[in-house]
Amino acid sequence: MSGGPAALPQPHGTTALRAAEERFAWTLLAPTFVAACAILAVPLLFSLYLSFHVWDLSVVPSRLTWVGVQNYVGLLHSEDFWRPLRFTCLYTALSVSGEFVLGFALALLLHRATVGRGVFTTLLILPMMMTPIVTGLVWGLLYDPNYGMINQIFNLGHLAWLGEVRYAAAAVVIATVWTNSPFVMVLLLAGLQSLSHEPFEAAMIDGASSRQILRYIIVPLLMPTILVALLIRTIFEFRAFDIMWMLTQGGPAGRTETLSMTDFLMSFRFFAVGQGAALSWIMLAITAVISVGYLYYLTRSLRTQGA
Amino acid sequence: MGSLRTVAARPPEPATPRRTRWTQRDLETVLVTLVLIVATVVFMFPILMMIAVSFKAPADVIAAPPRWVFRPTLDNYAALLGLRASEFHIDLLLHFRNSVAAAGGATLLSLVVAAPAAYAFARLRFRGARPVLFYLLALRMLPPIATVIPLYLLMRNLHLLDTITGLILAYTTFNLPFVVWVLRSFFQDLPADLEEAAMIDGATRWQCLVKVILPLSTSGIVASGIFALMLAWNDFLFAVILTNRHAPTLPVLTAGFITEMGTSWGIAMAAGAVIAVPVLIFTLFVQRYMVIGLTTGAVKG
Repeated sequence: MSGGPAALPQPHGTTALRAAEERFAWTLLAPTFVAACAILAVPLLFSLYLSFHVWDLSVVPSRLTWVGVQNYVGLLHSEDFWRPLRFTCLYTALSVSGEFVLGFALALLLHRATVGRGVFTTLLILPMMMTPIVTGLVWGLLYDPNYGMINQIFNLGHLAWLGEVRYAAAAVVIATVWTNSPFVMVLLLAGLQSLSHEPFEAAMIDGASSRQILRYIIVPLLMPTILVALLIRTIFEFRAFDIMWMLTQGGPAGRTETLSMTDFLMSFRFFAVGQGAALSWIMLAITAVISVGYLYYLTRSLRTQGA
Repeated sequence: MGSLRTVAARPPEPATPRRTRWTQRDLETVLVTLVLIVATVVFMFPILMMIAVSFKAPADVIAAPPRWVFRPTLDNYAALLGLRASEFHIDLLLHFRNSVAAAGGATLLSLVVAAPAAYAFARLRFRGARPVLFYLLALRMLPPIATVIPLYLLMRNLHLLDTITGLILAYTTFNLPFVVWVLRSFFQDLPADLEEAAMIDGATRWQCLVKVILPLSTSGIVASGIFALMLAWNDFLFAVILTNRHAPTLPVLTAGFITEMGTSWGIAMAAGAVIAVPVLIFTLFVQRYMVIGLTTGAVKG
């Protein structure tokens, strides 16, 4: 711990001064800490408690009944859990791969560009910043069988994109890739620009081809950034909600329903609050596993910065 | 453009004999630029289409196949404002006011709460700094649906459902971790000499923070504020769950345009433009802080 915090003149050694600094730090931190606990951690623990209960909201006053792990067991035996889980995984895998390939390609192009790099970058970032619900709406029109421009441009007649499972899945993946490729692009472009150019010079002198440079120099050097980009995207696609909600509402026949949507419907349409809470905790567990990878890499990069 | 600009120069190209005025390098530049132009057009297309369709007259909107050339009108915006009859009863101003109040309030509150914490993480030594910092990041990784259900129950008990206050509190919590991380990195980049000098002159830590650090980090505060504003502005999930008749925001309004009977695409696109265009303009201001913003948890929920 020699970097970051040490940047200020440290009070010279006395324990009293150290204690004062610690008190001051916690005073500054208190509001954030209290808010993070009160409005997030405590409700989450309450939802853990709920996940072991059935909460009957149809009677007044509402009644909580302890059911043990029954909510979890029920979910694990239900196709209403596995179907969205399968779709969520498929959707995540396809979207993240698409975003990575397109984002990386754009980053390489921008890195090479000598003309107008700033303008291109600015314009390419815009899809990522769009309000997701509006993105869903806009793609809804693009896919519209009658008034949509996708069918018109690709001469597909009146193809009902959102009416058939395979096309609907492709449609939501395409819209997601459009939205989030810029994210991968921005991260990787920053990564590319921070690489030192000695390895490139050496490779050039040795007569390496562009493909070899990409394969043996760029990708290995960029690996930490690539992993962070992939992990963040995986965490965020896994929770996808808005775009599907606008495009397919989970349809046709619940075949493009993500876990977030299942959880939403379970809790707020069918008022199975206990089961919804159980599903939340299953999602939390899956996200935690992915996040541990992310936090691990971030910790490592913080350590190398010396923070 | 700051951090997005090249730091290291491109690797030198192998020298090619100059036979004509066009070297291989020039050719490459042209090729790269062309591909980028095509990519940019493709990526911009949905946004441009949204804006274009929002100016179409109803007859042009339902022309099949779609018309690319049309006479622009303001009909859809008029309908959105209730100046022209439409099948929707839209209270655009209510949604707009709610969006501004919820997103703006949450932004201010999260800045006030997060700035001191960020300073503590950036400059002070204390036990528990790392665990708390990562606890905050972990909160950002939670799927929002998992937090919004218990939050709904909490707000119901506090009678905060369907209120702007409730939304502000909810948005503040999901902004906090993000703002703390971004501001922390700004504070870290400020030279420590200034505080040293202030402290030698007898300033307390509080005075250092308020009189030295905060005035110097205006750009950082503005940038993280804009990020926080966009996060809250773009949210749909929290708004659709936590609000009903009184406090719904713009994205909730938009979701209502898709009906069983089909969608009024013209009005829908006009609403989309009203919501998204301010965000797109804001993006231009924060673009150079994008990378730090993204790695600390991204702009979207």
